[in-house]
Formats: sequence, structure tokens, C-alpha cells
Amino acid sequence: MTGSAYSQVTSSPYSMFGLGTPEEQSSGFSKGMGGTGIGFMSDQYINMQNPASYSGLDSLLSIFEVGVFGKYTRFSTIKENQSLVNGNLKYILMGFRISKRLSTSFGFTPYSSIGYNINSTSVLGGSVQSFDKEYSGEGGVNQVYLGGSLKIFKNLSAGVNAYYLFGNVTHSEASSALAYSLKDITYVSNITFRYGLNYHFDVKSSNFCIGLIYSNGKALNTSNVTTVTTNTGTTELKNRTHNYSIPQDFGAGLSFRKGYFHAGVDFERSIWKDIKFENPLIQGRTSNRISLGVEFPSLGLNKGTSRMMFYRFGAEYKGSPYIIQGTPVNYYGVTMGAGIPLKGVVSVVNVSLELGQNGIRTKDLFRENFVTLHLDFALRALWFQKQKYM
Amino acid sequence: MKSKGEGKWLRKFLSFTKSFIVLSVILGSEALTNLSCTKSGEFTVGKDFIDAETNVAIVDTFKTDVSTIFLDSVRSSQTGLGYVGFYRDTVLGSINCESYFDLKYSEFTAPGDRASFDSASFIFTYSKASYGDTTSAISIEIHQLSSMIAVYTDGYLYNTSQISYSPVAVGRKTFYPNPNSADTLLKIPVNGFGEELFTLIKNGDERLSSAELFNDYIKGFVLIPDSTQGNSVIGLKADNNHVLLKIYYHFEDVGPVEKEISINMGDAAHQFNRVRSDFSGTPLDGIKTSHRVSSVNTYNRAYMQGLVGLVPKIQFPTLQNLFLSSQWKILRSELIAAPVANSFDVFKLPTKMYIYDTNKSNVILNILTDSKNVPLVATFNYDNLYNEDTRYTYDISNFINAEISDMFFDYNHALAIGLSESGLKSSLDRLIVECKNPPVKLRVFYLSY
Repeated sequence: MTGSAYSQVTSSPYSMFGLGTPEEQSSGFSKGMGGTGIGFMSDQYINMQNPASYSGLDSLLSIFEVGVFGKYTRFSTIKENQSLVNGNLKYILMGFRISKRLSTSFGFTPYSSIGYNINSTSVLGGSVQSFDKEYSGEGGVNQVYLGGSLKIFKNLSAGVNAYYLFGNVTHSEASSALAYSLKDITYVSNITFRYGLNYHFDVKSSNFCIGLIYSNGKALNTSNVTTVTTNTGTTELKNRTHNYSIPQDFGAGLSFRKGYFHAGVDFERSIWKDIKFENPLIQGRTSNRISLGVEFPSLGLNKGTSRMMFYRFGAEYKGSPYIIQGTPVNYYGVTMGAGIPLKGVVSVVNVSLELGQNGIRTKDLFRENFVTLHLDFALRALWFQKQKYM
Repeated sequence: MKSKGEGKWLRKFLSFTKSFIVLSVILGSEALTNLSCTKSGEFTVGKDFIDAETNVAIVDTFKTDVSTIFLDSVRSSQTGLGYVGFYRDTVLGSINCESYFDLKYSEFTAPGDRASFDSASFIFTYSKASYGDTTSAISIEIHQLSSMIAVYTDGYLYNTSQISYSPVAVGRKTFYPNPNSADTLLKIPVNGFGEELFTLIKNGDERLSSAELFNDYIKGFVLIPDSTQGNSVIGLKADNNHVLLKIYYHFEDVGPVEKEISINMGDAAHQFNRVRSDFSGTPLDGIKTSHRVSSVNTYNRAYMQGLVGLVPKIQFPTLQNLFLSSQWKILRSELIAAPVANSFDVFKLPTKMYIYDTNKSNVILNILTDSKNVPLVATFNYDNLYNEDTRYTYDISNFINAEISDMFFDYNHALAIGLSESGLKSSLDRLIVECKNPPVKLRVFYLSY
């Protein structure tokens, strides 16, 4: 049996757990390098993975980046295959240097997304009959952040992103046959922080950069609105609560640069273990992420111009944040990308293609294979500088 | 230098913000218009680990108290159907049906002195509705009424209405009814009465000169069964065109040319059936009108019969228990009633059963309707193979939900199952409801969360 669905933010049936599917915090260049970015400090792009990286922003450049994605996912269980196409805005980021020591970035990006639509059947208690039931979920957590980075010494920077998390976790159940529906909306919000350090040093003509990040875990503030609708009307249910938390997270990254050649590795650990999932089948666990990536220019490693193209390759492994009845839903992916310079308002388009796999096919579980096209439009300073000299 | 620097940053910030907003709007709206088409097909992946928040269960353990109401009276006039006959069985005792009507006046033209009376007959047409053993001969008498038929102030007559009639029959016939034959007419000779009327017509008698005088002279007729012959009730069409009095005559000097005078049935509002029942020796022996007898006292049965005025009443003594829990809703409520096995050989099961609400006084209030205000009809399941699943199922969700909406269930606000409003007054259809094995069930689809 094969089916397909198109929907807006619909991501995955796995997004029914917790706050939904956690979104990658990588952007632009990093998308083509397996999401590697903790140890990078770029003067060309905003690297929100490590807030200390903003110190690398060129004093003459102000950067504005917009990311969008389109994703094709194929879900397969042992018995069936289904596919889905979705896409959306991924982030809007800005960054610039305020003074010699201080740089800033702010923007909007999702923290997690929920989108699923599952047709199922349910047993009619006290009988041998069953009825059709549709489950759906939507929402997710968005974040707006304001970050700052301070160059403490020539080679050492420290940064922080302050996030305001807001959004909702919405699960719905409905049966058209029995003419009822339940909609359970939990509005979530809170302020969290991500701290970062960046230290770079030269060894002969090569440059190395070490990055460290840390986010504290936190429970989110919640308020619930659950309604049940039947033929006789809609009732709001009182005193329902769902608790959601974000995990403690730390990571380290190392990057190497020689001329225009870049390479890097990331290691990140998220402590989902302490986070309770309401679904009794789900248990949080410690999740590790490992990624590596390279970037090199089209014209040879040392003959750089502002109009050259960059190629990027990367690979990523991300351990499941939870286990479902003992089985983790791990992610593996490879990426390739290019940074294409343009003339005009948009100075660079970063294109990357991610081939990924999530989960495994077992008796009860399913695998997601997906191809994601990421597009990142970077607007650089020249546009703004023109205005300045008008 | 410092202030110049600050101005530069401010300009930079403002232009950033402007472009941020413009681009956000463009990209945001594009994302929405291009990607927001949601089409969820048969997407089932992931169903195995849904943590459902709702459950639906069928609860059919609510007790039902079933009884039989003997209605005070049943409206029986203006139905276009006349019933005559006597039927007796061990289930509900005997039913005696008498059919009343009057004649329509029209100006009579005297046929002249040479006209000579031949015969006179009432002519009736069978309706399809007959009950009992119609293969045995029955005997019917026709009597002239001694008082005029007068309706009650509400314009109707009832199964209990009485009109006095002459003890002497004007006609009588013993015959094998043939109710299923479309073209067979029932003729009852009334020669004596016919000749008398013919003479009056011939003489231009004053008593036939106006409708008032005519109806005062011929007040009406009643068909009366002979309870000692046969065991059936036959249905006759009772309207102006199907009830006729015909007087046949000929002219002496013209030869054998038969002539006739035809008089039609009169006011449709005056046509009614009187139905008397005698429950002696049955479980309902002693039941009083407007009262009810619990099925516990009638061998776990409840009775319905149209013109007799028997209606099963159903009450829900334990539904109040619903309110013990608060996290629930009723999605659907069904009432399921099955007929007593082998109880519908003589009286075929009605295929269309309706439902009414009733009160403590055992008065039928209103017919229950669905959400479109159409009378609620039971889903009839006829198991002609094993005869086990024959049952009537009513969707009484609206009634139950309205009843519980104030968090109180009124035991006395009960249900009564019966024929349609017209069927109740125009048929003798019978249903005997099984109350124990299986009991009358209230099946509630119960949503909990």
C-alpha cells in the first residue's frame, strides 16, 4: 500500500512525542557540512550554533540570512510505504559587529516542529467492533533569539544567545463516524540561554579553532486548552496539564582552515534522559551527535576571489533522544552543498542537499528516508553600504 | 568620531530591520501559499505508538424498566379505514371492532310511478389490512344508528366513542372474507331498508328534501361483528368512493333494463372505529386505562397494539449514575427492543416503529424526531433465518442528551414505542416486546477522556 500526503509543517509521525521533532540549529554553510559548526567562526555567515562565533563577523559586513527547505520523506514499515512532501521557512537571521569587541546576532528559527496525520482504528470498548479514528498533531516551538559575542582576547571569544521560546503542542483526535473530536493545545514559553566559547590559534600557515557550547535544560511554562466537541456542543476541559522540558546540552567542535579549505568536526550531547515523556512507550535517553564536514573553493585552495564558489560535503550521526519500546530512532545523514556567489541583492545562495535516514523498520517501528533541499539566501553588507553612501 | 559611529550603527540597524520585515513578509506569505495545501490520505504510519487521549466504549448495562401503558383512548376517526370483526387469542384476549359512518345527501330525482324496486346493498371494498384467521367465515350485521354521529370539540372521535344504534339489523351477511383480492367487493344486502328508502324517493318524501332532514332520518350505520363466528378483523376502505349504498330498480314497461340509485358515504370526519378489548385471562387482565403494568408482572413482556391503545413504556432507573464521573460524554444512545420469539405469526411485525416521550400520567406527549425534525423511525432488523437478531433499534441520542444536559435524569420522563401517529389510530398492528431475554437495552456510546 502506498499513499502520499502534502502538508504544511507536517514533518513526521515521530513528531508526536514531546515537543516534536527537534530542529537542527545549523544554518547556511553548515547545512552542507553535515551540520558541523560548533568550532567554526566565519566572517561570511551567521553561525547561531555557537554564539561566540559572532566575533568573527567582518566589521564591514552586515549579514542577513534567510533559510527555507523542501523535504521529501518516504516512510516505510515492514508492510507499507508512504511518502510526504513538505517545506517551510527555516530561519531568518541577522548579524553584524557593533564595535571592535562586540558583535551581535538575532533572528527567528524553530526549536521543534510537530506535524502528523495518522488514520487509525480504535476498539469500541465493550464490543468486538472498532471505529475509524484520526490523530493529528501540529504546532511546535519557535524561538527568537538575541545573541552577543565579546572578543575577550585576540584569540578568545565568549558569546551567549538568549532565546525566547514560544509555541504550542497540539494533538487532536477525531472520529467522523462517532462525530466527536478532542483538541489538546498546550501553549509553551520560556527564556533559555546558550553559551559559547571560541578559541583559535595558528600552527604555521594553518588555523585551528576550538568551540564549546552549553545550554541549560529547563522546564517550559505551559497552559493548556483542551476542548471536546460532540453533537451536543463543545466543552472545555479544566485542569489538564502536560509538562514539557528542553534538555541540557553541551557540545565541542574543532575546525581547521588552510587557505580557503575548511574542515571541522562536532560532538554534541543532549541529556534527554532526564526528560519525561508522557507516552508510556517512550523513554528519554542521552543523545549524542557527531558530525564532520569539509569546504573547498572551485578555483583551487589558494586563489581566492570574492566571486568564487564553494563546495561542501559532510556527514552526521545523531542519536535518538528517546527509545520507543527499547528501540532508538537514530539519524544518519550525508550532505553536499555549494555556496554560489551572485551579483545583486542576494550575494550568496547556499544550496545543500541532505540525504538522511531516521529510525529503523521493525515490527512496530518505521524508517524515514528523506531528501532535503536547503536554500540559504545571504545578503551581505554591500547592499546596505550603498545606502550609507547615498 | 564617536557620535558619527553611533549614527552609522543606527542607520545600519534601521535598514536591517526594514529589510528584515519586508523579506519576512514576502517569504512568509510565499511559504504559506505554496506549501500549505494539506492532503492527508490514508496515512497510517505511526499508529502503533499513539498515546490516545480518548476512548469510546459501549455501555449497555443501564437498566430499563419496561411496562405496558393502556391508553385512555385512541383517536380513530377520519382514517379512511373501517374495521369490523372479532378476534380472540390467548395473548391479549379479544378485540371487538365496529365501524361507523353516515351517508351523503344528494338531491334525489323521483324515478316515476312505473319504477319498480329490485334490491338494495351496501358495497364495501377491502383494504389490505386484515387480522386473524381470514379463511374462516365471519358474520357481519349492519345497523342503523339511532343518534347522529357528533364529533368531540376537538373534531375527532375515539376508539372508545359510542353511538347508539337500533337493535334490529337492516342487513346481515355471513361470508368468507377475501381481503387480499383487489377486485372483490363486499356486498351486504339491505333490501327492506332499501325498499323503504326507494318508496320515499319515488314519492318525493319531504324527509329527503334537504341534507338536514335526510341525516335526521338516516343518521348513519354501524358494521357489527358476530362474535360467535370466525376469528378475524377485516379492514375496509372507508371513504366517499368506497362505501356505497346502491338501490337497484327497473321500469315495468321498458323491459329488463336495470337502473340504480347510488348514495355515497358521508362526512369523513364522522367515520370512525370503535375498538373494545377484553383482557380477561391474559397477563393484562385488570389493567386500567391511563395506567401501566410492569413487564415484571406480565411474564417479562410488554405489549403494543395500535387501535387497542397498548404502548410499551421504557424508563431508565440507573441513568443518573452517569453523573458519578465527570470526564465523559455520550456520543450516541440507542434503544434496542426485540419482539418475543414466535409472537408474530398472526400479527406480522410492523416494519416501521416510532417512538414518543411520555410522562408520569402515561400520556403520549410528542413523537421523537431526528436532528432534521423528521419522526425518528427504528432501524428494523429482521432475522428470518434464525429469528434471533430480529430487533428494532432507535437512535435516541437527542432525547438522552437533552435529558442529561442539566445533570439530572428524570426517571418519569420516559419513552413509549409505537406505530406512527397515523398507524396508531388506523391499524391493529401488534408487537410484543421481550423484556428479559434479551431485555430492552439502552446502548450508550460513551466517550471518556
